[in-house]
Amino acid sequence: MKHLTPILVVGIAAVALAFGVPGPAAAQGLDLSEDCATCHEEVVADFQHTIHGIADRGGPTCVTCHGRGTRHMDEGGDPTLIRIPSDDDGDQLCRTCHQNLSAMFSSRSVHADASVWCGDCHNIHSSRHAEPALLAESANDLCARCHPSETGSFAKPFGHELNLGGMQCVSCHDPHAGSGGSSLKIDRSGEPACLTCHAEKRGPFAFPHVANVAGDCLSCHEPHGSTNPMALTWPRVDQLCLECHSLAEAGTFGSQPPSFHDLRSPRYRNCTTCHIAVHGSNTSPLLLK
Amino acid sequence: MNTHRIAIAAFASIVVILSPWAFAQSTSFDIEVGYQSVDVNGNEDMYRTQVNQDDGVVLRRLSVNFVDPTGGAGLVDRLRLDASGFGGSPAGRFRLDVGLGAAYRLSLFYQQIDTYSALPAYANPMVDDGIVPGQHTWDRTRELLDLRFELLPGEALTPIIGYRWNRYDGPGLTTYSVGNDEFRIASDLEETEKEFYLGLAFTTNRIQGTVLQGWREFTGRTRDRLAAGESIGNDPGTTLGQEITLDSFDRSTRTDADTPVTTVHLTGKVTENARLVASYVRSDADGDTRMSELLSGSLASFQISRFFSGLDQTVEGRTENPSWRGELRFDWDINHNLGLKLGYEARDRQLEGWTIISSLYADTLNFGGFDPQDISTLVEAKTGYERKESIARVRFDVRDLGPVALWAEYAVDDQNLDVSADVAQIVLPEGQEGEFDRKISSYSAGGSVHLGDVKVLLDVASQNADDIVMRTDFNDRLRLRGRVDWSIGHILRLLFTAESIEVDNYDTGVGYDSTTDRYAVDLTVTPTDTFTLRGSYDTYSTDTKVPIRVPQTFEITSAVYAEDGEMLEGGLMWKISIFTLDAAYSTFENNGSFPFQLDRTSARLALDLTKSIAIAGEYENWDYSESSFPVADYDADRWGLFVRWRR
Repeated sequence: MKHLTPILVVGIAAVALAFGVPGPAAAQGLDLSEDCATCHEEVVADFQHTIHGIADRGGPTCVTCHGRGTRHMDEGGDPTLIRIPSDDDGDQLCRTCHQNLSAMFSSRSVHADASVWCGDCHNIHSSRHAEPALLAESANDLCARCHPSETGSFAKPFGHELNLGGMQCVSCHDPHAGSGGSSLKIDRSGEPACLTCHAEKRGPFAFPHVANVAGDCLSCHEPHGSTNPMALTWPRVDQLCLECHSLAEAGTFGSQPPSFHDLRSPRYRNCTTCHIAVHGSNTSPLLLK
Repeated sequence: MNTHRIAIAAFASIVVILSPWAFAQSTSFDIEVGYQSVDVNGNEDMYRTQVNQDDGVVLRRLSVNFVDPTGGAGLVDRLRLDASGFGGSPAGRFRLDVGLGAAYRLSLFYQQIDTYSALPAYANPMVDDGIVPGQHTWDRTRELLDLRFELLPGEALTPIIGYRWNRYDGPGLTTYSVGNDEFRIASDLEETEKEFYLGLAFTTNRIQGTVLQGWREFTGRTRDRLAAGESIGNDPGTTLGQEITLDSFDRSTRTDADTPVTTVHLTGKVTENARLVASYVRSDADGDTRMSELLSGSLASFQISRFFSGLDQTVEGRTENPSWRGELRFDWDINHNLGLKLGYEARDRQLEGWTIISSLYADTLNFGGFDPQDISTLVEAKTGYERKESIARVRFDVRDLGPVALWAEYAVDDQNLDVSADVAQIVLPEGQEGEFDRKISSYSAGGSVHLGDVKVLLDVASQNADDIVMRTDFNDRLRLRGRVDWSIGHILRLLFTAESIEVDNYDTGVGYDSTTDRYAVDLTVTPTDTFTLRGSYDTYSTDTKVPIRVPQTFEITSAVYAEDGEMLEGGLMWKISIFTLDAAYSTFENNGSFPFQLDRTSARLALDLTKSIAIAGEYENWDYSESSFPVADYDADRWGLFVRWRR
């Protein structure tokens, strides 16, 4: 497969060239911005500072989204006489140019299920000091608006900390629909978003443990914040480990600790004192290093 | 020059090159920078583990936005730069996007995260002796760099070139179990993952796609040594009458992994209302590990049934880990009201691991104190697994039935796991190798109703599995979710969400049960543009019960875990003339298996000196307490003075 890759790349490029069809035409609109600015001066001025503002070279104009609005202008600015996109209608309009989102947003997005449309998060008439990607607020604040429980999860003391410059909700989730469950992103090699940062946990390990074998990071960790240290699902190490490492006769996957692991001794209650390589090891079959 | 320096040099060069645009008159920017001071009373290690703010200058926000509508500015017609968190904050991020029309687009992302962990009680076998923090601590830094360049973005053909870099390094303390005791060791590591990729995006009237080929390289270097003053080990007693000590210890480990990664994504328009989406990802990881370890002391091994005074061990390992996943999806809008989606996804991951562990035990004596000799052992371990999964799903969407929208989905997930463990891994026979199959059927449905200012959403998902693989897998799982969102213009917004998850496992000998309920209500009142009052209440409870076998007696008992958390939060924003006050208080209390309380108070008073310049004073308090282990408690204040300049 490794050797086929360049052929694949060239092949697909050739197919694309063979089509010989140009990309989607930029939304063409009659630029009536000056007319609009007569009443909406501030909105038009701010619009010029957005990525959509490159109207002179094929970008969208007021007309692209709102229509010509002749009657709206003739009749004193009656808001019912001009197109104000929203909901499904607004989504369709945005996807005219943002075609990639058509494939993503339509199917896997919980936001599509919840009738969230582009304008709920993005402010097309953004101010000069707008957030990136024309977001109406900071990404974390936007998510918190509709996900108070998840925001509450981050108030737990252990785990990822939002709002201290590091993590954002969109670090792991794709609001337009990720490839994993719960709109989670996957990295370029199809693995969980966790590995984008925690790359050293990716392996491969000669002696793997849990992740990629029969579970994943969430088998032991609560990513949003946890009431337990290390963002774990149990507060005590032995309880977490024994969840799986018990009752081997049940036909499940997971070993049983031998009897010298006397849980009355703190040495054995804290499994990771010896088995430190819980994410996998290349040097120790029993994950001791 | 190492990669880090190259990255910094590249970053500096880009900033210098782009500075004319960044400071052009048509550019808007927003910068907030200041100084903060942190005062921690109580357990500073716990504060640093949870929060990790520090004294010093902090870049709270930097945004630069430049758009040239005419394209007359030359090489750049749009530039967006955002940065935050550098300085006294535990994490900083920087993002830069620049481009010129349909000529090119360049994006650069850099993030630096200080990670610190020194927990007092967690995984600490010495806590009953009053020794804190625990034995596993670290103070490390993670840095990420992501660079991507697209030529002719959005055109028929778009060449793409990118580079990713991720480094994790720094000192830490951990433990090593050797010679029938555990010893604390200092562990310095440097782990770097780099990936270079190139590819092509293409767009035609009917097909869009991206093909990327990447080459990922991981390098891990770890140097472990005996921590100062730790030669006694965790067990002060003796083994068969002999005191166990470790006098010297030195280990070096080097791991390298090379992984070519291929990513293909295609979207084709079958008709105006039907779309076919396909994706394929393949990676072939190939890893090598070399470890050498040299130690001396007074030690015992039950594996060779001898005392020994030295160990010289080398490990050579090799892994091969091919994996792929493919997906095919068909989206069809049958008419304005009805949509159909069909999807099929398949994944396959394999691993073959091979390791030779060569050990030379020096000056050994049998447990009777006789028969002195050096003993050499050689272990060859081979492991492997293959994990296969295929998911088929069908979904119907019904839209615009007046104020109602509905959807329903059925999915079947077939899982197969085939594991072969090495005898060196087998603890007790059974449970560590074999073939495991599981089939999960999922039924889910939901809907939304829009009635004026009220939006109501409900969904239910029911899953059942014919078998389990792990003891924590479910046989049945039921999830119910609901949401009511009520707004009165911009004046009031009330949001209520509820979620209940019930997991049941009735497999013989397992009996794993878990229930989770969470409810949240959020109220925002904005009577005027200058005043906002907000409050929220969030409650969360979970009960988990799983039978476990006690290793030392083989008796069956239950492990029970409970969380009973409540969070109450309130805040206000009040703007009076040139003053803006933003204040908040929250309290989070957990009364479950691990009881604690965390109260947070924050206030920020900003003063607008001019239309574009403001100064702000900040105060923040974190008050953390554990009722069962007060040694962990801390009370931290942070004071800050910031200047904000916007143009």
